[in-house]
Amino acid sequence: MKNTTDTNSLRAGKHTATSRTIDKISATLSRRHKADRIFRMTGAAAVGTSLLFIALLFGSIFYNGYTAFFQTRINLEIFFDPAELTVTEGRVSGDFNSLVHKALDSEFGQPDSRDQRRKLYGMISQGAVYELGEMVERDPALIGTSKPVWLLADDDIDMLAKGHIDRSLPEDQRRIDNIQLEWVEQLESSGAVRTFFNSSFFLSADSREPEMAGILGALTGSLFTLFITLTLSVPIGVAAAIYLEEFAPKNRWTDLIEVNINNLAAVPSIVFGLLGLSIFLVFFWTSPLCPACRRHGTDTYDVADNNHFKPVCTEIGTSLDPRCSTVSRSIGYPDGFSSCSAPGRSGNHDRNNYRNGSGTG
Amino acid sequence: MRTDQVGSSGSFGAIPVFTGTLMVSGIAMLVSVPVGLMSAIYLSEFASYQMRSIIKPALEILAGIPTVVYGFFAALIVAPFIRRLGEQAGLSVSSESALAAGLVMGIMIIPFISSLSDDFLNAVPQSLRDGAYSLGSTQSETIRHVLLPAALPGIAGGILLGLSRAIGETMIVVMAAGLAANLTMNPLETVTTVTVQIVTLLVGDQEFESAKTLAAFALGLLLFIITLILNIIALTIVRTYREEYD
Repeated sequence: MKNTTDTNSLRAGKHTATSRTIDKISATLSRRHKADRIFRMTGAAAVGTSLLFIALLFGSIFYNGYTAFFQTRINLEIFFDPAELTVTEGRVSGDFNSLVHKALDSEFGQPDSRDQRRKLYGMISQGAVYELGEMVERDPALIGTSKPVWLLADDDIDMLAKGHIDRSLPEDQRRIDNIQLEWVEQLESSGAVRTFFNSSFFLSADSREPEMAGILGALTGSLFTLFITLTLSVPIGVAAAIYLEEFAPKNRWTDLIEVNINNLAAVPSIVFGLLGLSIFLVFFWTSPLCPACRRHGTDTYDVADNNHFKPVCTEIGTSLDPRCSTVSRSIGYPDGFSSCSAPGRSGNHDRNNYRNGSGTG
Repeated sequence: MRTDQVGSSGSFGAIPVFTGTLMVSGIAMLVSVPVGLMSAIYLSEFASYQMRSIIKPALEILAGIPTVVYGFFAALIVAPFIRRLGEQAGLSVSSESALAAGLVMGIMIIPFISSLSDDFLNAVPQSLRDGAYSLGSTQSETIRHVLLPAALPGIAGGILLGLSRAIGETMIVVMAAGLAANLTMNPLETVTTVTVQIVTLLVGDQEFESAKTLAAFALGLLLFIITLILNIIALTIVRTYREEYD
């Protein structure tokens, strides 16, 4: 750049017109280069912003989600009391809850008030009962012996152990009472609280107990949907592409078809949802919430009766509840657990009921 | 329709939800067009080959994330952040705001716009660039006065495709902008969109023989027509332009 200006000034005497243009250009050159730099930096900033968004997105999802892969367990000495457990034809029945309660009592001394007992027993998840049942069923020789077992902790204790509950908060603003906190800290100091890899997160379906909930049900649903989608779209899509590309004549009609196929990709998914709904409503005369209802209910879709589906649905739900068919039949569980209500989102409500209303909102 | 609503039957309508849709997608476009376009320009004109081969796939990751994850991000991170920011500035911000949903939707659309614009900027023949440089243009002048006008139809098509994506987006708005229809021009308030209105009309334990179902289908039809028109325009532009340099 400097060179050019030097040459320009040398030639200035001969070509005045040229030199004037060049002078003009060199005068504006630094401004133009500055604009160039600013433009370039804006571009870099845009790329940086996009990358920052990606980092934020992944960072926040990971930060909020990774503790789901771990679960908290409490180590207690369980005495498999022969008086409580009976084995009939390889199946164990008995009050596993009372085993857990006795273990807690012997660890902390049985609290006097009902309320405190409930709080103490509430520290161990109901899932621990299932696990104990399976343990004894696998190895009936355990009955009559005593063994330390890592029992699944309740979700509140789990949250506390993972640091999601602030211990310094006053008692009424915390999901955990002072007395429970004291017990947990006593357990922690003796190394009896530990986090394990949460395999039930992958191996169980939804549950009204957060610590026992998993994604298997949802994952299976996703895979089914994926499978049906692929079997439908791959043959049709590939065949259509081959036909349009190799066999079809290039005219207005194939052009129109191609534009429409491209449009399909950009139609909002909710419009496809409406299409699916209309198939249920128009062709099957039933509700997508309960496709099996028609078979169980009246023959035709009863327009006047809004509650038409509900009783049937509850029935179906109950018989499909996996806990009804497998677990509670093989292992005798305490009252309130053997009766299965319909699975659903009313988890908290159910849970509070069998805990005599111990909900800490 | 409930008995207490009979008298006001004339006041039902799609205007509030369409205003919400326009506002949320407008905010989304305000975020995604500048960022997406400038990223595309930087990647296709300034960045080295190595840098480009790393950043371009990274940006395209954004396009592959399920929108429900964006919704999570909007509801748990962005909306509370905006709320806190607004509180410090003395503004009343509802915990579910059009701004949060629009911002995150903008992030979602960035890769659509940047990827398409990048393709079209690359499709501009080298001879046009060389011509501009030989006339003494700087790089940014070449881009602004030669490349962008040449690639403009393609970029416009990309933006329209992004817009139709924004209009049809559901999950982000369900999670971050609220469910109640609200006729307002304030982006800090709760709004809802056409798509979310369809969801609230149809989802849940409820009957399907009511007028609500038909209302949902009417909204769906409107949405379909709007996105169809946008897509036809965009695809026509993109197609005709692609053929020009092929």
